Amino acid sequence: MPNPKSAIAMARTFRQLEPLGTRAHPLVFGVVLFLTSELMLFAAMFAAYYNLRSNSSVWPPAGVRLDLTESTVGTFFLALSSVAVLFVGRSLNRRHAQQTRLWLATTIALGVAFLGIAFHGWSKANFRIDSNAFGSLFYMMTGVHAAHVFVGLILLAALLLGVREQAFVGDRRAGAEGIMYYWHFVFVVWVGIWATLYLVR
Amino acid sequence: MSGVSTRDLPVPALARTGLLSWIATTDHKRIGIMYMVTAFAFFFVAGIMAMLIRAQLAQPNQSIVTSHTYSQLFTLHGTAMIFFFVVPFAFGLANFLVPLQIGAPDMAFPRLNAFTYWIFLLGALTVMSGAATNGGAAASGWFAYVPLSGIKISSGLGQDFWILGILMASISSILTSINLITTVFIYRAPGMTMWRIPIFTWEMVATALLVLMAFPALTADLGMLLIDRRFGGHFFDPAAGGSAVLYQHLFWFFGHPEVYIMILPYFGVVTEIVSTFSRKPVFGYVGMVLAAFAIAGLSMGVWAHHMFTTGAVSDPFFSAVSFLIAVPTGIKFFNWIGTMWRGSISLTTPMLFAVGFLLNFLNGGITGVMVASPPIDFHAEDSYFLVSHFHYVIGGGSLFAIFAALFFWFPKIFGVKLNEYWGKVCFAFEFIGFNLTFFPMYFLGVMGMPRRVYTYPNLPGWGSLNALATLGAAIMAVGVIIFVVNVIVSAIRRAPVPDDPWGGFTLEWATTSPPPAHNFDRLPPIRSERPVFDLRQSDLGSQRKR
Amino acid sequence: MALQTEPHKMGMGPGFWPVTIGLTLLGIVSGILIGILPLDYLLPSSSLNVTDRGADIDFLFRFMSIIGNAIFVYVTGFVIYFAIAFRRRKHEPIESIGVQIHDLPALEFWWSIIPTVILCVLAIMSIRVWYLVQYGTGAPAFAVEVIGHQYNFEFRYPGLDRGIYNEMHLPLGRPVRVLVTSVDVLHSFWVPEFRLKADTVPGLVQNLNFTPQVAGTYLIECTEFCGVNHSFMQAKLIVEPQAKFNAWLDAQKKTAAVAAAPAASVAPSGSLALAGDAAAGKTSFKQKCSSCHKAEASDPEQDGPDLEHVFTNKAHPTLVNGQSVSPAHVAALIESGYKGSGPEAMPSAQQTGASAKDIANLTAYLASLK
Repeated sequence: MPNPKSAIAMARTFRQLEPLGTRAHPLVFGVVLFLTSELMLFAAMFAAYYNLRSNSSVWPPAGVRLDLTESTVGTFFLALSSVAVLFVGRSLNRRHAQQTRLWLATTIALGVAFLGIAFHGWSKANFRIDSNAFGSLFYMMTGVHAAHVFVGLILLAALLLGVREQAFVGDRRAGAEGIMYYWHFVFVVWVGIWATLYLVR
Repeated sequence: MSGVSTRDLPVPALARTGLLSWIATTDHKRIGIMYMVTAFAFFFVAGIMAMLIRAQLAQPNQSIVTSHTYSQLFTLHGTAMIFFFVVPFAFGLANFLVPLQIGAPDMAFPRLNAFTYWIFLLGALTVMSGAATNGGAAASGWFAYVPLSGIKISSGLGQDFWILGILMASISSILTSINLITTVFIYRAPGMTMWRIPIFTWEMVATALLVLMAFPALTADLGMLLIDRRFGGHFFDPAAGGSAVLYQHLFWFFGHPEVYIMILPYFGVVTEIVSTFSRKPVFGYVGMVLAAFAIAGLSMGVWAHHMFTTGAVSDPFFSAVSFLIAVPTGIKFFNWIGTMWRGSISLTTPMLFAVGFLLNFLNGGITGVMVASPPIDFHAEDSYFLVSHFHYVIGGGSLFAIFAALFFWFPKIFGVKLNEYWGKVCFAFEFIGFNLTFFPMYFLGVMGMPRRVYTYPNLPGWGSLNALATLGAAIMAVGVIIFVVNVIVSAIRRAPVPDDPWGGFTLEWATTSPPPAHNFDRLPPIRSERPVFDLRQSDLGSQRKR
Repeated sequence: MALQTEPHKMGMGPGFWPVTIGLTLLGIVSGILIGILPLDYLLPSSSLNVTDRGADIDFLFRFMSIIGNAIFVYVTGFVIYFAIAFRRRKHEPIESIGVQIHDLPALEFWWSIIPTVILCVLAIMSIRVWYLVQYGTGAPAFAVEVIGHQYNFEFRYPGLDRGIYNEMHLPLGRPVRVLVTSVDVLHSFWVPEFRLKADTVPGLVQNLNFTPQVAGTYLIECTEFCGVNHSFMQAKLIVEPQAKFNAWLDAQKKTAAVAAAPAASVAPSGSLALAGDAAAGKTSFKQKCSSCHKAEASDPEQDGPDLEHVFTNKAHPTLVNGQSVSPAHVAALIESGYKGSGPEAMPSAQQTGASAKDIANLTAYLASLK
């Protein structure tokens, strides 16, 4: 019979033996679960979109103008941003602070560019949230997504401010990992939204 | 943010007392207690509403309350029972028990845990405070169907308060679920493999997964409702390309899994109790776990059976899956019976409530299979038959399991054992009262009494059956009062109680009652899903050898 | 492990087989009782086979009740029997434990497969009847439209260009297709004796197909919560022989023709001749109407219909008495009052003491709320 260990010693064993080894770091695991739930949130909106679309004979409603070119540019920026964050991860692994900051700044700049294009798109659109069901869906989907981008930018900025030696290991490294997953998620969901609103329509 | 670090552990949280220590706590046991106490407070509120509803319906053509008040009463009764009692009670119980059952010192994200409690409380109070607004609380039923819940008809702020409150409660549920699953997967003690975690913990994992899948649909749906109401949106407006049925699709995509979110944790409770008091391992442990996940999976594909009578859904898929969901539920029943078979059964209060759960839930389950049949829905949907069916599931099922859980884990949570004699009296009142209330409703439904009516005409038999239901409700209320008195008297007397008064099986019984802040001083070796049982048997064995 | 015992060698326990036989007999006897006892005694003034689909649904209900009853008898019986037969006796030591059996794969296999088969059979039976109700038997059907309003039912017949309120007539023995929809919120059209219901959804038309087989008067109820007066939203359904039905329909057509004539200009008590003053109307409204009606967004919610935008509300193209919304009709309604099928009622001008001038003011006030 093995010696029963005290809970404190046991917890310490966890931290030492299984930080990122056989079991995932709780923060990373939690972020993945959170993103699953987020995916369902967007899925509900996609479902609503295609449900209403299938019920309507004219879709999008007559007179709705959508700027495919501009939104494609925005999508391109967000894609680049999602690629840039990969390099953030790589430089974190190499424990290279200067490089990490550089890539983080690039990621943030591309994200801000995306948001700017999104705002410009809203400001010149010829329909509003209260115009028709398409307008409601359009602004809800792009709005909720833009809010996600905004939150992501704040998290990335916080990461940028916190890049020091400690950021490369342990819980903080896991936090950075979570933010990167989140950022990829924001991009992947955008591809779906963009394809739905601008390509499939 | 990152779970328990060793630095935080030695703080003697239990030594700290006072209100502030509760407000600031991140201890999973305290948060669990706060969840359960709050949930029970809402049970009383919703119960009083139910009494008023039954009083109004006791006789035909009464007007004890006004029709508008009545609409608010049943809206808040349903909302409070579902969102602020049955679900948060399960999360409270899980908060308390899951880390103990897997031998962990706390939940994975203690501060997030505290946050989920406070946002749940805020949401619940927001919904209730709608009653103080001009125009009163939400009055469009707990599923707030559009267009009734739209701005044209429900123009009051009460409906907005309801939406915001439910949104907060749903965010709370999602975050708690993330916390629970992470705790189970990452913080299990050495030796506690996935196939050794207790059934209650398994059921909570299934529940939490369902919450993650289902609640976002509600969040989106209520978000759309809010946009329609306050920002001129047209999601549910058929005149501008929207659809009233869309609301129902999204609502029931959440709403049906919600039914299982309300029952799966209590399947776990009943499993633990039946196994403990039969002195036997859970019969078909693996089957039990797989059945829980089969139920969770199937429940995602049955939402449209709430909408057969709208005519918008004519896909036999939804009916067939609704029937099939009875298979894993049936497996669970057979396993419970198998667990009792050739046991050494003691009919303590928790066991009585668990048996009450089995009988009532069986009743609700059988009528559930009947309403899974679309043609029977054409008669039973939105009648008192349906009211009775889901009360048998949630009232006769979840509520009885909640009482069972309270009697069973009260010594563990508070170090106080509730009086057994009065517990059995309470059970008698609840069981008789419950069946007297809801069994007549099956007949009322078949006879043609629609759901949510303020009053009803004096047709033959309607008055007497309704009077019977009201009498039953009063008996249930007496049972609840007996329970409360039992809690108060037992707490004052504080009869000495051992750490493990029931001869429990799972890890929570391996520590003191109530447990210390860090949960365990010593963990027994974990070699099966019943480590405490194994320990006791090996102790008994070594005593006999001597 | 020492605790493991071999289940097949130790028997099922004291009295297992007699109890099983007893429960089987109980299940069969109570099943037969459910099968032969008339269900329709539960429903007032009805007999079986009121419609052809009703009979199908009753059969299904009865069949599932019999199976459900058998399961209920078995499970309840075994739970109670086990709880008694295997209870811990007084003389048994406190640490006594039951038979430590963990599972029996063969048993678990069969108790998964058998319910699946039973449920599949039930599902197929159900879906068959469902399709008959939704799509009809293919026979040419007589179509009636049902439109839900807060809080009454409107019925529209072919060849009749106005709705009939609160009374539905159907010819006996002729296949009927009932098309239902709503103009405001969700309602549900339910005839308990027919075992049929359909939700009325704005923007959606669905249908019920059946053939009424027994003449008589039935109750139509709203079963989807639709607002404060939901419980009073009822209507009468009269099933009568074809000749009688035709006579009724012709009479309705004549009335419609009369109503369409310029007779609509009946001005009540000359109130229309008076010019209304909206400000004075607002004062009168607060005194005489505001305890039941809401007129402006800032007013509290009331039991009576909201009169905000009463002249422009597309969801309410008609007044509560079914007339179109016009100043003349509004004034007439204030003058005459209203008595619906339930306890909801509006007092007449005589009762409220509203003068012709007051009525004109009130009408002007309501018209000003556009």
